Amino acid sequence: MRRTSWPLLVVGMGYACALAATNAFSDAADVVVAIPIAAFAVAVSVTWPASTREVRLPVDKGSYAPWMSLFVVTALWELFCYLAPGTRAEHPTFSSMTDAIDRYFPLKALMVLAWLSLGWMILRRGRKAGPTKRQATAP
Amino acid sequence: MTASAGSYATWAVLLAAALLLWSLSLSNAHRPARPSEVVGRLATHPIGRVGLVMAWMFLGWHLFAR
Repeated sequence: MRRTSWPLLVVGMGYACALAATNAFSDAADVVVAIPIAAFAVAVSVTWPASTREVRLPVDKGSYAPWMSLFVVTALWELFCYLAPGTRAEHPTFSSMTDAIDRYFPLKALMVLAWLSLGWMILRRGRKAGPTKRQATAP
Repeated sequence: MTASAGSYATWAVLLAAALLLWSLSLSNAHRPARPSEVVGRLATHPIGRVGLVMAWMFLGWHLFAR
């Protein structure tokens, strides 16, 4: 792990523990969750380029189709569970299952850390959307 | 099989499929894209990056706040 990653990980773990100590539907949870969301919005508007240059893999290097298919199937299943008649126990949605995890402090803290990591990955990958040096210097 | 067991089994299959894709993406030949590459593609797409940012914000708010 790079040296710069350690302070980030420590801050992330501290934040995850702080958020895991709150209860959903409370003012404390609203405030603590709003902090990284606001920071993320600021970071995206400051560090991401205004115009994009889509980063694609060469065709032989990997395919996005299996992930897109899995995402569509999962979204349809989530929608079915949400709309299906019957109790939530019979048709659990993604968030109803995560509610069960939320009752356990360490699991909730890990879930928060995963959410933060995903946000960090999105932030870093989005920075690559700007023009390449060659494009930027072209007349 | 009860409705509940069927629902949980379906969620388990979807999770297993995600883990299978992830492990296949670590191989070299004709592999699916790695999760970070999928995020990278979306984050550099003009519309995809807006959706990705909104989805991340909604996910945190919905899971941990309300």
